[in-house]
Amino acid sequence: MGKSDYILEMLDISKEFPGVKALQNVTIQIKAGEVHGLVGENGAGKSTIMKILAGLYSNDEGQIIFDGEDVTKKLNARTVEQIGISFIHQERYVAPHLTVAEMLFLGIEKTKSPFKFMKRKEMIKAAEKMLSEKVGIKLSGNKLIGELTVGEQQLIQLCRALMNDPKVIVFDEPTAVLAKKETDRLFKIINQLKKEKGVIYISHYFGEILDLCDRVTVLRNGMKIDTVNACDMTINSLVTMMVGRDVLEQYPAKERNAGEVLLSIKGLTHKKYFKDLSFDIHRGEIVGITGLMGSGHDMVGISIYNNSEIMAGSIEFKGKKMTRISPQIAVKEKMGYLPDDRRGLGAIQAMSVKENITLACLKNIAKKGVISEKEENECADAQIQKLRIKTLNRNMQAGLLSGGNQQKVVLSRWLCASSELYILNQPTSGIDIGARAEIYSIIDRLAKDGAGILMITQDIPELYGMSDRVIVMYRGEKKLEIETKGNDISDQIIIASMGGIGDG
Amino acid sequence: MDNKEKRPLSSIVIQYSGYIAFLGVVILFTMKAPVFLNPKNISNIFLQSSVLGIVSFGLTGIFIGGGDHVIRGGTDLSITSNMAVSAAIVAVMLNNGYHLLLGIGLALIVSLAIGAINAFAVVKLKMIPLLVTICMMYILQGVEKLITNNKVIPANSAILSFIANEEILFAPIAAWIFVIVALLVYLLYNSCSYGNHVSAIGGNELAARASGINVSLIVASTYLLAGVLAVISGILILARLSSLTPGVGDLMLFDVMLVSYLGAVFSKRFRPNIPGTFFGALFVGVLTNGFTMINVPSYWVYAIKGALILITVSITTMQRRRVL
Repeated sequence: MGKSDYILEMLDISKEFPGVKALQNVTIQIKAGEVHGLVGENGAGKSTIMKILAGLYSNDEGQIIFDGEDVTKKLNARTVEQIGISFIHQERYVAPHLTVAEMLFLGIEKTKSPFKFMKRKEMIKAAEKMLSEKVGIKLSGNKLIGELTVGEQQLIQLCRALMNDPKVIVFDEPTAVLAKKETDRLFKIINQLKKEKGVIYISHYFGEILDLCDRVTVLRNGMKIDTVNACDMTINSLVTMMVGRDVLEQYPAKERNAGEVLLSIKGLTHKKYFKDLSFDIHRGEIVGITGLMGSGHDMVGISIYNNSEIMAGSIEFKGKKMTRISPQIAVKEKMGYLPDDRRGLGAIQAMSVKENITLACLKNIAKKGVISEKEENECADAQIQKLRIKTLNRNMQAGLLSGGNQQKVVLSRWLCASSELYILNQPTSGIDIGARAEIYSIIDRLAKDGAGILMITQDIPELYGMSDRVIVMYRGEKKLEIETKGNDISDQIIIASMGGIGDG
Repeated sequence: MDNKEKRPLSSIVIQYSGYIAFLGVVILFTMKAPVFLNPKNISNIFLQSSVLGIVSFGLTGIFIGGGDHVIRGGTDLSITSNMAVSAAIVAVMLNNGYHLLLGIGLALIVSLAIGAINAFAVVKLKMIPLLVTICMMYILQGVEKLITNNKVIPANSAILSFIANEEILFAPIAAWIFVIVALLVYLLYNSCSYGNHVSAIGGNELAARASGINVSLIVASTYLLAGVLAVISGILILARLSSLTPGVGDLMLFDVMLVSYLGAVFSKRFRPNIPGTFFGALFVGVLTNGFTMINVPSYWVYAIKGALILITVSITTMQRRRVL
């Protein structure tokens, strides 16, 4: 194939962060007239290479050729659009209280000198025309951005990007926030665009990738696995390429015995995030729940702990029907919740390790409202020892501990309160491998001692390695519920979370 | 989305709540005291609102560009102290025999320097505007007391008394200055691309940056503009009172904040804006003037102001939750 076939070539790109090889000799070549998919797990290097393309990072090695010209040194955040590469980010880069016309022409307003008076009427007319020509929607140029749907806001960004007449457009998970109808509309536009431009399309939804893309590049652990023609692939074969077979971490052996039903959920429907969800958790069992961003799986845990946004369905805990659960009631009933935002919601940074540990069980160690210092100390010391929390002493400020140890402090809070159900939201995110193994063994021990565990995670090996049963959600609905014992089901989990039908 | 045409009455009432309240108060005062709508009194209200209004335009610009998060958003608590220092400089210079214009020139330089320091701390050092400008406020209060010796400084100047007393078209020149400044600032923020950039930054800084706008420069300019407006209002204070009383800025600070927030209820977007601030300043002027006219103790004005800002904040908060 001659070089001129490619509009954009990223050749042998390498990038190293302190201690991590984020990219090793990755080559991606984009043709004008194709939609090029880019897939890989979190941490595979997708966003790193796109940030290099956007000029936000510089690459250590490799060349970027755009339209026959070496632009490696020229790329930075300010020049990239002028060079001819536009990005549609996942985040909405719009100002909600501007009008459509003001937003579309932001920074490039049609003005009359000397004071740069805006020609409003002209801008509104031009905006309406541009929107219907370039992205095919009819919108009043006078409408406020904040009143538009997420999909419409995205199209405003796209239209704005197209005004620079780019030769390459990068879409970074554009559909994660869109409704089905808006997704279809976006695909129609992308198919129109690819007639004259190169399109890079990043997504976790493999069904979309196969429908939309001509070729797909698969990344894993900072390396390129291959670039393949989409028409030769199935969801299954793509997943196998992406995950590889090298996932073996130290998880505790599954020697737990499920007891009676602890928590039973029927037809639970959230105001916004999920609907008609049913499952049980037994004593001594770890149930994992997963899904892609926007699938609602991450809201299940908090909704059991605080059901104020639940519209329908029932929660039965220890055989008792719970109509109203607030965090106070949950603590009283012995549920423990480990939030995903450890710094914001978990450990109270400014308080001591001791105070953090005893926070949820102060009632037990306080006599007539007065905290018995001796008992509090004993309780804290016992936990520090039991979970091997690395702290100078019980009075050290929790904010000074490492992430893994902070997580242990929050866990011990619920241990101390002798919880019977633990809801763990992303228990190991941002925690190094050594501390992970310790947290896994703590969780295992809790289950063996008869507690029920609901673990919410997006880390597939962790989900598979820890759980006795796995629930996969897709766009707010349960797609798959499957026992993990004995069979390798990680493919099925991934396929289900991407919207395919698992065999189980 | 389709029920756009048939909005419930309550939502329309909320939309125009600012104007309705304004009109209601005016009608009330007119019924109690018919002289209230006298052209002489109306021009008086404009005169009384002029100083407050002009300073508030500066703060409003900072609000627009800084986002309106009460703690982390843009704000300038030193703005009225800046005004007072400007007035003090002009007054002291006059008393030492210098020409008025020389005093104004010096005040302008000092005020721009203050604005530049605020802007530098906010834009480059990324300090929280609230903290930066509180410190600046204390510094300026000290400076003001130092240069005035904490005594009332008379300011006699033919030009100043001309501004305060001479009438063109039924209204003193000071009132016209208010209207003209309002018009210029309005054009700057609502008709020029500059205003669009400022609003974009206040709404979503990343979006503005991604659109190629020089965010630091624009935010800094709002602080500088506030400095210039503080000088203009400082001059008007001298003109109206023919003297400077130290501490005049401290009393006004909360009025300025009130007026700049109040502006939000006079707009479709429920955000601080220049015409809203204009009406807000007049509203406060109307209340003060009207209560005096119908012989209600002016202490009531305080309570009314407090209630007003509460209502404003609650309406804007509710509206914004609906929109976003």
